[in-house]
Amino acid sequence: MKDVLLFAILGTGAGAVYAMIAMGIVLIQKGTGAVNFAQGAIAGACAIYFGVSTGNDGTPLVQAALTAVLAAGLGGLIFYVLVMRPLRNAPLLARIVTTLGLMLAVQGLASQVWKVPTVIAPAIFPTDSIDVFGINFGVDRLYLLGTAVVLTTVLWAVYRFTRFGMATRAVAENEQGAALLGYSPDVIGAVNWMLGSMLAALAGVLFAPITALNISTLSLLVVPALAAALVGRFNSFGLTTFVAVLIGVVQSILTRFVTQPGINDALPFVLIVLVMIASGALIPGRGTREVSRLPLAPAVKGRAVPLTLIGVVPVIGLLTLGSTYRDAISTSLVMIILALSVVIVTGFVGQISLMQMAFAGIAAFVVSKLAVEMGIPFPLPILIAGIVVVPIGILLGLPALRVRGISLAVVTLGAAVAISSFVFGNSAWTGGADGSKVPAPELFGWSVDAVAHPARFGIFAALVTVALVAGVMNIRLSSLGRRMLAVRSNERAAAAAGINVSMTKLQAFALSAFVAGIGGGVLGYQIGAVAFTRFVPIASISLLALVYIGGVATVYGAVTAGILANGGVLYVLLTSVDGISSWWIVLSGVLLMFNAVVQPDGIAVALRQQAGWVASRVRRDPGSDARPSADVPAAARL
Amino acid sequence: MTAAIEMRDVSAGYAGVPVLRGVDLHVSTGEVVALLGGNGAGKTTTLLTLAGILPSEAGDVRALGEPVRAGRPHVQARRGIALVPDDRSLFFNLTTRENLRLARTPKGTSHADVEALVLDYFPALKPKLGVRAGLLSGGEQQMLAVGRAMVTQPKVLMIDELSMGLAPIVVTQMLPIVRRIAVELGAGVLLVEQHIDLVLQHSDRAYVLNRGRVVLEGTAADLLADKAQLRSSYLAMEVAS
Repeated sequence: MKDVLLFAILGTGAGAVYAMIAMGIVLIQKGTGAVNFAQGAIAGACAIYFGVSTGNDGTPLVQAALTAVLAAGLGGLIFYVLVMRPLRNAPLLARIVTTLGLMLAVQGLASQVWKVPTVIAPAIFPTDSIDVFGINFGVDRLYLLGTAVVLTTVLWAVYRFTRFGMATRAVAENEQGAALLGYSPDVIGAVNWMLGSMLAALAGVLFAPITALNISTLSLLVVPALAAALVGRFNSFGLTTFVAVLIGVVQSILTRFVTQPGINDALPFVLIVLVMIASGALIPGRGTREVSRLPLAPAVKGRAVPLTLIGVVPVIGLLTLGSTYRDAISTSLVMIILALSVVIVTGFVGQISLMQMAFAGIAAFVVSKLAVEMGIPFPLPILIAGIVVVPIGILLGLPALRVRGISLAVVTLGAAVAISSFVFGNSAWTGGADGSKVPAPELFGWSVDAVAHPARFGIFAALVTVALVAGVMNIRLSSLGRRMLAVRSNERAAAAAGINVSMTKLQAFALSAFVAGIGGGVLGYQIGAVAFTRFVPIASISLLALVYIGGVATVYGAVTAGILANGGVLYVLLTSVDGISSWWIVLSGVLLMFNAVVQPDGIAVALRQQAGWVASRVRRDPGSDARPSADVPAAARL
Repeated sequence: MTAAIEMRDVSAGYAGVPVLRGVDLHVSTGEVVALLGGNGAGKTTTLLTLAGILPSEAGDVRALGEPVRAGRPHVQARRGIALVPDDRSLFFNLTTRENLRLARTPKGTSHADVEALVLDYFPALKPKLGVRAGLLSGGEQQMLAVGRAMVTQPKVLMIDELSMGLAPIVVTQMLPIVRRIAVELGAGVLLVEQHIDLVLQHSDRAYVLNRGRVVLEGTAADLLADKAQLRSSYLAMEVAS
């Protein structure tokens, strides 16, 4: 019993930190309707800055803390003005993906600047231990909890009683209505972004002395914080803080009594799912024009030529180029497959999934088991793995029947974290850091080994890619594709038109998981040893980011994503520039934000529109200067 | 009487689709003017242009003597130009009192005074002050929307579809109150309405829009007296085209 209490008290420290990050999320959601997935990364970067500058460089504590908090506030302001403000009425997906881009950028930047520092940050609060009812613990936990409670009370009072607070609630509900009363949504949005970022920074600074300063793990602080904010419905500060502290406490107790690794990380996910199922459709969206534009999903005109190009161009490259490019082409092809899975579930049906790499990872480990332990010959394990992942996809797609938009993104991120630490983190099953071996593939006595015969493996990957691209093109043109697009644009209208919305969503999750599974299987054979680090949540986020940059609702977006991918063709082309490879993740984050603002439909759709414009110029009188009329060419085919 | 709002040869529309084509219109202070017309005539577009939500493509849009800059509706609101849009734009999660408190009072007036004034106009809101706006009936919501606009003591009040979703008896109660606002606050009032007879009885003048043009204008009395002309201005162009 004493142990339970002790670990409960110890857990309040982390819980208080979750609470501060979560309150920042609530502020930003109230003020701008966006959910900031980068809160954890901001907290993490500030924690590391604080640790390094005080521990290594000897900066005074207060100065370092103030610098971190003010810098985060300034960063939040700049981010709002440059990125979120232009996106105020953009599709929900654009806003979500943009904060994911910020997360990538901050995380990449922090790991570039500070690597993984070994320094331990000096304590901010007194660390004397006190004895209460025979339980001995550090008094700093009480200070942390007290800070969270005070902040909660202050924020509650400000948002309840002040005009600014009321105006923020008003803007969250109806932006135009607030403007008609004389409130500038920009000012309110900017102030809330600033305050939210500063809260994250404060959380990071206070957490620094009691945690490991690793940006990858600190970025994921956003998951328990999101869980708490979601239970508080992005509205109640008190409930949010209570749930956040509760998560911290229960996680702490679990670490004491349960030896199964990863159980802590699974807990927020379980909590999210339970709350979602219980509260169903009541989760808040945004009061304003939620029916805003969706990313274009142009139908494919003429499949033969693009399919031939997608098949033939890589093969020519594989047969003529050097080994570096051969590997890059294979990597791009695998990424195209994985990206196609995002196109189906997020592009066509609008369900934001941040767990696609988890499907791929499960498939890769299944391939390893099938090939090594059961001796099933290549390429059958890939197909079997794809099929094995389907029920998992359906199972994890179930929350999507009752949960939409931002909440679904949170649920799927939670699922990714849970799978990553609960399944992949289980070294008995996945072989730990060394990973699980996958034997060199062989087909009819021919070696298709990615290392020994990269061209042969690449050709195999190209065949699979072409088949799946053709499949996804066919889905888009089939009645299933039309049902998917109908569900995406308006569930109620789709249901009124006789479409089984639930079935359509589950079909999408099933198909998407299958494609992701095939991608994971091919990837398994390509890399030879499946290490779980490839399938961590950040990989799923990067994948969605890449596909969004390419164009989330078209196969060409997937192809673009493959070309842009880390280790892919463009990456290898650009790594001739010195040092760019280590900045790749920062670049992709920045590119993501930039692209969301200037080209929300993705590069592939923009290129097609430009091509259409050029074609119309060529057909017409060359002197005429008719511009393409906005999005009409592609939209007309929607 | 000075012009509260004024449009000269104004054209406006959405994404290149023209809606208003060369509209001339003015409302003086203390005057109630009705803006009539069928669906798609451009009534709401006119109000959005005047409120600074929608940019005009050509022509001169002025409110209280100054040009209206589009894209910054909150600036217009602070100058005393109030729009009650057709969706009423209430904040459903806030209480009736909070909705009223959100509106800014002019300098030198206390919120308590203004709130008392609003409750004087709309006594039905008194027992509902602590109730969330989302739980009010349609009529009460409309009263709150108009009342909230009144808190700012506007010099221009524009109401889009006052009668939408309301029982005729509620509308007949509200229109005299709108007239009172014009007289007591000296505001220029522009009413968009579908109930022609009803609104003309409470207006000074009216404009009839058809396909983005003013096809008829005159005093309310004249228009009521010559119903045939009014009807033809509504229908003739649609039939002819």
